[in-house]
Amino acid sequence: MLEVAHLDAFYGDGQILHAIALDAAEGERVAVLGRNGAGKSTLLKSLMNAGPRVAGAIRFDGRLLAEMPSYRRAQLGLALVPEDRRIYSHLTVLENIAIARYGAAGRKAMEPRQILERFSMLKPLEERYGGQLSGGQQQLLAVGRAFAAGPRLLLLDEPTEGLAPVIVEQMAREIAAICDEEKVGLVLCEQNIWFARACTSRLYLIDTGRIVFSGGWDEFDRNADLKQRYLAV
Amino acid sequence: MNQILFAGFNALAFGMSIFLVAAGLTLIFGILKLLNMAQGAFFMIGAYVAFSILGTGSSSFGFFLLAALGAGLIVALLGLITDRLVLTRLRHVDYHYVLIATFALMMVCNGLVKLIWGVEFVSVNPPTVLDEPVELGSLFVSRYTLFIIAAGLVVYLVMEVALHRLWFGKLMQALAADSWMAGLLGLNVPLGLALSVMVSFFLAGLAGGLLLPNQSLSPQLGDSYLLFAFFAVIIGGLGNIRGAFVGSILLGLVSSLNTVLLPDMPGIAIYVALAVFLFVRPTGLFPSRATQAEPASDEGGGSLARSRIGRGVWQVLGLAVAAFAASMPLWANEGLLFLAGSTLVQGLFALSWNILFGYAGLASFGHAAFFALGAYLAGAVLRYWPAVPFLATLLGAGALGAAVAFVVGALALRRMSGIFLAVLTVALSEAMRVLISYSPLLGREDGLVNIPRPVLHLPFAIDLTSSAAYFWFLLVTTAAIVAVLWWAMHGRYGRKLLSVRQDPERAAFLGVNVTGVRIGAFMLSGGVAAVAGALYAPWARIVTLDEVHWLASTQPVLNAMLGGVNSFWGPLLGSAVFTVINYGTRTLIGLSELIVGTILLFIVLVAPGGIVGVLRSAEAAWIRRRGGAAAPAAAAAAPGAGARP
Amino acid sequence: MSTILMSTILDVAAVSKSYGPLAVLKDVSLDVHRGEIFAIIGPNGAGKTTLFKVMTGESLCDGGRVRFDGADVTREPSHRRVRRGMGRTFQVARVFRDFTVRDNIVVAIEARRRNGGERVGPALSMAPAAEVVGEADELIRDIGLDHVRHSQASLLSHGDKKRLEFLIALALRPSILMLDEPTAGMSPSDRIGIAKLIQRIRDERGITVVMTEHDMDIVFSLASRIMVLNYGEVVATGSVADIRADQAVREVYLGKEMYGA
Ligand SMILES: Nc1ncnc2c1ncn2[C@@H]1O[C@H](COP(=O)(O)OP(=O)(O)OP(=O)(O)O)[C@@H](O)[C@H]1O
Ligand SMILES: Nc1ncnc2c1ncn2[C@@H]1O[C@H](COP(=O)(O)OP(=O)(O)OP(=O)(O)O)[C@@H](O)[C@H]1O
Ligand SMILES: [Mg+2]
Ligand SMILES: [Mg+2]
Repeated sequence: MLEVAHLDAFYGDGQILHAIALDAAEGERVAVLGRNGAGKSTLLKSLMNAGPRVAGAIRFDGRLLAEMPSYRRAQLGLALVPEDRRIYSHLTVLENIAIARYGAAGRKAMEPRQILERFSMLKPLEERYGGQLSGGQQQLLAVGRAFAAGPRLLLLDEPTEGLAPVIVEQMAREIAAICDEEKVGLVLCEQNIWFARACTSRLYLIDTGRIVFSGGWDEFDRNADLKQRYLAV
Repeated sequence: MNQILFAGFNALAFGMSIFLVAAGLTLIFGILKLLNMAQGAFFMIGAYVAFSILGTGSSSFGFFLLAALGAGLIVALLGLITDRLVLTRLRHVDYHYVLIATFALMMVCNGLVKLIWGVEFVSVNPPTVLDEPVELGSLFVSRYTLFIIAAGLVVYLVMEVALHRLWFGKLMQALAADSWMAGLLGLNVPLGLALSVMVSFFLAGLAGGLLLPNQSLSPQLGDSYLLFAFFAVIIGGLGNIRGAFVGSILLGLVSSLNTVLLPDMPGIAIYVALAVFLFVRPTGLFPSRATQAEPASDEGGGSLARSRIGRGVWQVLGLAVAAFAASMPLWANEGLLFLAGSTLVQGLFALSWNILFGYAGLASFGHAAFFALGAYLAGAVLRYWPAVPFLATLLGAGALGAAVAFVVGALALRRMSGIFLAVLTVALSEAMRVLISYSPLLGREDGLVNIPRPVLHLPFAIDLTSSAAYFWFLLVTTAAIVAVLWWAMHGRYGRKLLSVRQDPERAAFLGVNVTGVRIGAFMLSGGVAAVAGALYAPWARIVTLDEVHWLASTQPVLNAMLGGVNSFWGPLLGSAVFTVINYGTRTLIGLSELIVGTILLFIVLVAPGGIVGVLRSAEAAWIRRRGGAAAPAAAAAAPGAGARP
Repeated sequence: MSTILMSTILDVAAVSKSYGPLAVLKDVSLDVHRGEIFAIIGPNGAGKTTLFKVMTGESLCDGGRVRFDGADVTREPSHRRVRRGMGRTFQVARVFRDFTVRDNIVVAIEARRRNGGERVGPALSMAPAAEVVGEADELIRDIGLDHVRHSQASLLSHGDKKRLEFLIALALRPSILMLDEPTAGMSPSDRIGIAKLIQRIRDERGITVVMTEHDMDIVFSLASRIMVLNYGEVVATGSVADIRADQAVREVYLGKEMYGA
């Protein structure tokens, strides 16, 4: 569904990503791991054309995205949850979710209330304004909101940041379940290896803007020095 | 009894006309977080367009409505053009630049109106149906007044429903609050923003058409309505339609009470009411539910650029300029010398403005109030009490400026947002203009004339009565003040200001008293501006109400922007260049507003770093080409806001 | 009595706070001992950040008292508390974006000297004093930000920004450091780095640390005592071992898998 070939990304004169190649089949879930500053967020923003200047080919459903603005990409079914959440502070929780339905562009999508059920911590907060939520509540809402557009490929940037362990576990279950039910693909950037493993079937390692490893989780586990070298754990 | 009823009725009508203008203002602020200074000008264009459609004769009611709608549509179209040409390019820059851009737009519009429709007053009668009085109980009121009240109500209800009951409003708000995220959610951002701008402009044009009758239509029309609309919006709570509605009615009441109780001092009560209100309820009647924080800009304000060319080069250059200036009385004629002296004063004035803007991150749009304070003080002292030492007068002017800045700052800066300072300073200069025009001592509308130049009584006497002597005095004093400011701004005081500007909350957690620092910066700025004014009075030997006109307030903004607000020297350079431009275009007298507005707009859009910014980029490119290691510092020296494509 | 007062640096007594009808903190009490690392944990929305705000003066509480370093600071604004020796970081890192990394630290050091009535530098000099720059560079080296010393802070990656913010707080030489999720968004290796750093500043400089954190590896390895908050109420306070064994805490917060028994 998503094919990225030879992607370079720049901020000003500085090149951040170098010749990235990455793909995800229909409904497939992959993780991207890497140190702070490796370029994970830049990669996701490049896919949405939402920040860095980009060169290279990004294909979605075989179609070259080229210069397409981010709102058109969202309407095609790409949904990015940025690392800084970006919850609308003057809209209620329910409205924050409902507003994202306009990006569905006619696709079938989960009802806002269904989403609240799935992320049950949000249920009692329905009427609260986004700006009044705690950090973790906002994070969860940002993830929930992304499902309202009926996405076909979800791009999550560190969705577990600031979440309590129980909620992380719950989120791992829900994301896996919803993605399976609705046939949603996933590109997940994470620091939490436990969570990444629970949600995805294979992974990429990225270091200073280059893909340095790509393969399944068992292969990753077999190469202990990978972890050592690129995640420094 | 009847009189009270009648006054109440008038209050309502006046309030509704304010609201008609305030509606568009608050809409565009609520959605785009854009305080549109040009709203009044577009309102006026609406009135003129309707006038062109209607002509001066009486017309039918239907035709009148049609003309108002037509005015609305045409202004909406202008809004679309404005959005394309100006606003879209300013989506991601510090909001102050947007404020300045709309300010420039206002000047361009005013200039265009004068060019197209001339400066004469015209008046238009209401359509025949509305031109008769009706009897309400024992009261006779004009139908037209009733019509305006009804129109205000209708506009209010429509907007209330559209914004608060319909999804449309939520979408618009989402677009406004964070358009980047809205794009990620699949909302068509460019379309949505353009639409909301058009609706807001439509309202301005419509208001112009509706309020045209019974109005003396002149190019000043926009200013007065704009100011009242601002006040209404502030009293109501920024960006809130209900607030604007209630605020407008309150203002109507206050101004109507003023005419009844204080007929000798028209227009003063509104300023008093505004000040009292801000003191008691700083967040307005209906504070915004979203966080009160400033709309965040993607870009920092732009760090203060430092040249990488050696300091020695600049020092030599500076000395050369100073020597050139000092030699002027020896060869220049009176006119040229006067221009040079005025440039010095304007440079100091612009510098004082930029201490506030470039270093503390706060914009004053009524800075002329401080300048005039100093000018009138010095003028009055020199005329009436010539025994007072002039240096003491200068110091006194500085102290007075700082004291007034303290009061205004204490009122406006209690809230984190700088927008209130912007508006309150405008109010201050307007209130001062009104006050001075009442004062016989200060010469009312004619100003203070024949101000004598002082003699300094140091241990030895220095006679400054000749132009040459006073020019040298100006040069030395200005240089001394600039030197002290340069030292302060480049040292730890400057760093402290800059840290508060970038992130007030973070700064508070360094133990910095943010409100205190901001008020302090405002006092410094106001004090220096007043000293500039005090230096100016004996130089020009006349001080008039022009010194408090809002055009006078734009001068330092313009000079600072032209030179570059991200540089200490920018305002001074800008003043010099502006003098040259003025000198070159002096024959085009009638077009000054248009020209100045266009230049300002051009700078904000094309070179927000001003001349210094352009120089810095050129310098960086030059150094790069020469293969100088592309030090990381180059990134920091890039011209700040608006640099991103 | 006096020894208890001596060893208590921060004392929060029966603090409550509501937003409209919603009671976010209900009679929360805690006392932090000088030199300890005190962790506050709890599910999302439990009120940790709100409690932080009340303790740091960012917002004021409706009822109860906050005493810091022997003085009642319940109604004092933040900058006063900072001058008494309280430092903090934010949940979303905040730094001076237009300054370089070094200038960020320099303004912090200068602010500290000013607050303490110390000489900030030579009276007429414009450049920061040599000692100030030296101290800044040392701190920067210490935390491993040397490679970005001259970069503009807004260009730093998420994790580096967080570390810079940490450094700004540290530069104030606080007697107590309030850290709201200090390692959120950091890679595992950086987390360990920060944890070591927290440990070190406690050991070497005797700085008391109050922190909230959702990474239990960090909390369990660092904290001398842990307080658990749920729905604005204190559920439990105790040592690491106490909390790990607490069934209620396991249910509302820890979960079963990630930190499996
Ligand atoms: N707006 C920007 N302008 C210039 N450089 C940037 C910008 N944003 C990020 N960078 C740089 O790009 C590099 C990659 O940053 P990115 O945010 O993609 O890292 P990341 O892998 O997401 O890190 P983290 O785990 O900390 O979120 C970093 O070196 C960063 O300094
Ligand atoms: N301004 C506000 N108005 C109304 N409710 C608020 C406001 N601020 C916070 N709340 C609510 O108070 C509760 C506590 O919030 P707080 O931010 O203290 O949680 P937290 O423990 O820090 O959570 P997290 O771990 O997610 O950061 C939350 O339920 C939140 O929705
Ligand atoms: Mg990232
Ligand atoms: Mg929190």
